This record gives sequence, structure tokens and C-alpha cells, in this order.
Amino acid sequence: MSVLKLTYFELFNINVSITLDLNELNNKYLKLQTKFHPDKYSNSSAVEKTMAARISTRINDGYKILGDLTTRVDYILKINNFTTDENITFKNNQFLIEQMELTEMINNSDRKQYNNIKKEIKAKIASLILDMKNNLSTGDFDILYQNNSMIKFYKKNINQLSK
Amino acid sequence: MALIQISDPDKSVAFNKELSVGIDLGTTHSLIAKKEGENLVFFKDNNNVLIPSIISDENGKLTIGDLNSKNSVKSIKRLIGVTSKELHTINYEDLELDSSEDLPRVSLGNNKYNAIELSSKILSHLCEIAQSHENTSVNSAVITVPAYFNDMQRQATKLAAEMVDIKVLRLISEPTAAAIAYGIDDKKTGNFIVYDLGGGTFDVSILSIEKGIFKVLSTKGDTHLGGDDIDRLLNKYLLDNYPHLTKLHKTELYNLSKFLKHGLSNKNTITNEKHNVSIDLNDFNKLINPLIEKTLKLLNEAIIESKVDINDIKNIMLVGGSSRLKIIKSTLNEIYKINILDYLNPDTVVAEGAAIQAEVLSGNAKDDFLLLDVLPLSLGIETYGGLSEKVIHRNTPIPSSSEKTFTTFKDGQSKMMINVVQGEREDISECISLAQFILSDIPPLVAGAARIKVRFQVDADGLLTVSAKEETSDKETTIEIKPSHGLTPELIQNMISTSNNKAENDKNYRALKESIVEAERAIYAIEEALKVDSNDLLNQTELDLINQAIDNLQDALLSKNIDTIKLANDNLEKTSEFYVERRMNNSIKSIITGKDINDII
Repeated sequence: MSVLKLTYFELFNINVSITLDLNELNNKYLKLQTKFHPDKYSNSSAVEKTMAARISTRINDGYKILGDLTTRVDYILKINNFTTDENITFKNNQFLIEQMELTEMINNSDRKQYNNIKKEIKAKIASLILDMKNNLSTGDFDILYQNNSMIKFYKKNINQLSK
Repeated sequence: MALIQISDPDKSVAFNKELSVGIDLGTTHSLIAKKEGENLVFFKDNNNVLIPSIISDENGKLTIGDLNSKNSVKSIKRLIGVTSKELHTINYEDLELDSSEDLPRVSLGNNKYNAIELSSKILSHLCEIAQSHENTSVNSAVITVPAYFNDMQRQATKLAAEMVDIKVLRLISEPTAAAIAYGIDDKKTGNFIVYDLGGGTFDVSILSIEKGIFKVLSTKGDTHLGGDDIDRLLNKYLLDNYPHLTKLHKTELYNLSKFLKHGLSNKNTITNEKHNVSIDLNDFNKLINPLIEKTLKLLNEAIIESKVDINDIKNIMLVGGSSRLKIIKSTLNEIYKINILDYLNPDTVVAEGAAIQAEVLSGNAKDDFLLLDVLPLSLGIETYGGLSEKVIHRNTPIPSSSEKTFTTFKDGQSKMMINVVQGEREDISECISLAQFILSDIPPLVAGAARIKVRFQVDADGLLTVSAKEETSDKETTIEIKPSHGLTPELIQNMISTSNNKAENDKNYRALKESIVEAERAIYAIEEALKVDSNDLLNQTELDLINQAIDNLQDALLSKNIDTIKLANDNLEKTSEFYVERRMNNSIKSIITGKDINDII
């Protein structure tokens, strides 16, 4: 076993899952960095320095990817060898129409209504998360990918509403 | 040493008997400090802890810190890492600059110097002060930089230190250093804001401190906003309202502004009898209000990006001499209603943090802690149409790496220009170009078919390395670059040889000594590690191999020949690489299986 070949889930010893406990992730992150951060190797030999720097980088990269829902799901797809051509944009006509309507609604509403719209969108995300959990257990990666893509759109909507 | 730490972090042994210091290389003044156990020492120059970052020419010889010299340059920090092309982004009307080369040069006496050379003069002076107090030369240092310094400014600072033979243990951000000084002070925990308004730069960082870990959550700043700008506004105000002051030399006007500004930090009105001027606090506050507003905007952005609820923030730590202004405390109090910490001297707190970190990194500290910092500004690549495609986003914990795949936009395109940029804006003309290089030998394919993988690696100092690889052909072209910012190898060599007044013999002796220390450290680390787990991790053949390499290195040490020692040391490192890797794997396994969760955190 080489540390650098572990998946991020293995590195953090967290089960592969759509949602995870961010506090637990953070605790494990701090524990790993306490051991491998380059500052802990400032008086070490060159080999150790290089290796620690690589491991520390990987811990940071994993922390970043597992810490966010959509990047985490993208990563789950990746370790399950699911690939899709990035150049083919996500196609789902019904969803695109919904997005257009949503954008229009956001543009036409005043700030007071923002919180309600946000709530609605968050409910949609929550239901998609449930779907994704099923998709993962049944191995429907194609649908998992599509659901994750929809969440990315919803997150953009929320960002727009938070400005 | 880290080999030992893996088995038992408490039994680390300090090899570094030489002097390790913390340096705050500031815009208006610089400090050098040392921490040793309970003792914190600020080295004084002419009885002053704050050493003015002023460089004067006295008959062709450069001296540091003379406030009254009329043949001097100050605030050189604003020029560091800035190329001639970017000069329009900064304020330099008081300097006489030659921008005919990539790096602007300042006229001083009969010579011209770039900012790296001048900074290295200051660093060298600081080290001489420490040396004269300690009777031993400074070997290594933690140097602080504004959190919002970009890659060019960080590289340039590090180079300035290396030019005068200071080994840089780590570059750390100024607000982070201040947080260390406050945080270590009484084992604070929670989320904190560091508001750092210095002589030339403003930074704000949000940190969480828990269980000896300082984690930077977000950072924002402006590398050209500080006390200097207040002085400039005040200069202008004085000239507008007191025409008789136009006769004053710029140094005298500058000193007058300083006098008035400092007076207003504890009085409501201040008068200077000699020049017959006075200003009251209200007028002064009105004058500088736009600057304060700017800092508040950045502070709000930092809070949003940290994702920490404002109610979960415990304190605001005030850092930097300019944070003494009354209006800052009252405004922060009014808006945020968070307790302000200002009991450590805002002028010295950064150097204190740097000295604490230097002690830890040199392996001499009893109290250990860990600092997790972030990248302050996003790094990206210019894509077709002059847009920046971000590869590593700001506020990502460092060290960090990321890859992006790019492709060609013309059929048969065989070369690709890669422009590495830093900054937040989409439009690359608003970003800083760190490096440009050409990837050639791309196999002729239709547009969009080639796959060029570009990898960014940022180290713990926040410094970037970029590599690019063409993946479609069997042949992989890999290019690795470090941003150089107009610093050609020749220029660096030239600067080093002219700056270095040490005798050649001296340098050779030092290099030999360092290689011996390095070798002894390697032997010690390996032998200690072998005692712990050679039985579990190595078979007899492997153990013999490593022991043989140790014996060889010990023989080489007797030769006192630097090349022989280095060769034998490299050999030991190569021979033991697999063993080091096994130990790291082993140690990660024990963390993963979770049996020591509570021991470590």
C-alpha cells in the first residue's frame, strides 16, 4: 500500500457516501496534517521532506474535494470509473425549462422573497440528495451524474440569491 | 528528525545549534527577534526595536535606519515583486525610478538598485544586529510577508534573503504570525479576525484556533494600503491648508505628518508649534475615512468567504502600527460588537509570531503547534479570448495541487503558449502574469483533440511550480517551470555575487559545515528509526543495505570533502527511500485505523 495511491475516502477513513459528517472530516483532516504537514519535517532529510510534502498536498486536496457535496459526488463517479465527455453539456430539456423559469422568477422578485425562493431550491436539493444515495447504492452512475449536475445549477441559483 | 517524530513526536532532537530568528520585514520598519523557551528577545539597533526600513547612501556606502538622512529611500517593500510594466499599480512619486529593465531600479547616490537588492541590504543589516548581540551568525529565519502578497512578491522576498545567505525556514503571513503570538499567549481557542493595518499594506485574515492548530479560513487584503497612504493624505492636507509648508524638504514634511498622526492616537487635537500647524481629530477622521471604508469592505468579504457566522467570532486582533488610530477601534466596535484584542504591541506582535514559528521549525521548541495557511489569490491559466481559467482557487489550504486539461483550438496546432496568471478577475489583463512558456512538439491533430494536462503545485510557503504534459501521443512532454518574474538566472547570479561581501573561503567553510550537519542529521534520523521498527519493516538484506550506506556516509564524513559527503548522503537517502515510505505508510495506517485519535488531537 502506498499512501499516495489511496482514494481520498480511504485516506480519511470515511465510507464512500453522498453525504458525510463535516465535523468528522475536519477532525481527521487536522489529525492527518498534524502528522504530515511540511512544517513537521523542517529538520528532516530531503527524502522525507519531499514525501511529506506530497502527502500533505494530497490531504489538502482530499479535504477540499470531500468537503463539498458536488465535488465529492464527482469524485465518487471518478473512482467508479464513470467518465463523461466534459464537452457534452448536460441535456435535460425539462430541467432546462425549469432553470429558465427559475432565473426569470429570481429576476422578477424583490429581495424580501429571496429567502422563500432559497428554501424552495434547498428542498429540491435535499430531494436530489436522497435520489443520489439510491443511485449510488444501485450503481446508476449515469443518473447520479445527472442529479449532481442539477445540484450544481441549483447552487448557482442560491449564490445568485445570496449576493 | 521527522523519522523520530513518527514514532514519538515528543522526542525530537534539535540539531540546529545555530541562530534561528523571526524577521518582520516591514514597509516602514523592520524587526528581528528570537524566541528561546520562555525568553523572547527583540534585537535592538541603536537601542531601538523598530528599525526603520530606510536605506541611505553615505558616500557610496549603504546604511540602514537613518531617519534624518536626506539621501535615502523608504518604503521599498511596495516595489518588491513588481515589474516595470506594473508600476502604474503602485504609488511611487517620491522615488526616482529607472524602468528600462524588467525590474524597476531606484536611484540612490550614484547607483541604481532593484527592490530585491535593497531588501537584502535591510535583511543583512538585521542579521548583523542579531549577530552582534549573540556572537553567532544567523543561520535561518522565518520571514513574514503580507498575507495578500502574490507569488512574485513572495518569491522576491525569499530571494532577497537567500542572496545574503539566510536560509528561509518558512515565509508566513503577517496576520497569521500575529495570531500565533496572541494564540500561544494563553492557549486561545475559537474563531478570530486579524485586522492588520501596517505601514504599507492591509491584510485581514479569519482563523480558527483549536488544540494547537492555527487554521487560516480566509484572507483578504490590499498590498498598497497602509499608514503611508494616510501620511500622503495628511501631506496633501497640510500643503493645501498651510501654504508656507511648501518650503519644507519632503523628509521634514513626512516627519511632521507622522508627528501629527501619532499625536491624534491619544489626543483630540494636536498642534506643532515650530511649523505653526494644527489639526483636530474630526478633520483627520474625515480625511482618512475612505481608507477605513476600504478596509471594512475587505473585512466583510473575508468574513463571508470564511463561512463563519459573525456571532461565532470571538475576538478581533489588532495588528500593525496604523491600527492604533482611534477611529479604527471605535468603528470596529460599533459595527461588529466583537471584543478587540490589542494588549500585545501592534508594532512587534508580527515579529514575535515569526520568532515563535522559527523556534518551532528549527526543532528547538517545547510547545509545538501547527500552522495551516491558505493561498491568498487564485492561480490560473490564460485561455482563448483573454480569460483566466482558475486552476487553484484562493483560500485553498496549502500545500496544494490541481490539474486541468486544455486543448488546441486550431487543426494541426503544434505549439501552445501557456500564460500562468494570478488574481481574481476573469479578464486576464486584470491579473498578474507570473510566467509564460511555450509547450512545443504537440502532435498534429484536429482542433480540440490534443490533451494537455497542466499541473499546479503550491508549496507551504505559497510558492508555485507549474508542469505541463501532452497526453495524446505516446511521447510525454513535460515541462516544469517556476515563475521567475523577470529574474533571469544571470541577473540572480549577478545580484548574488555583487551583494555578497563574504570571502570565498568563508562561504566554502560554511557550505562544508552545512553538509556535515545535514549528513549527521540523516544518520541520526535513520539510526533512531531503525531502533524502533527495523524488525517489523525490513528483512536482513534490506537492513544490511541501509547499514552499509550509513557506514559509507560515516567514512565520507572523515574525508571533510564536501562533494564526497554530499554523494554519500544522497546515496543514503536513495537507499533508505523505500524504508521512509514504508514508515509513512505505516504511520498513516495507524491514523486511519483510528486507534490513536485521542492521542493526537
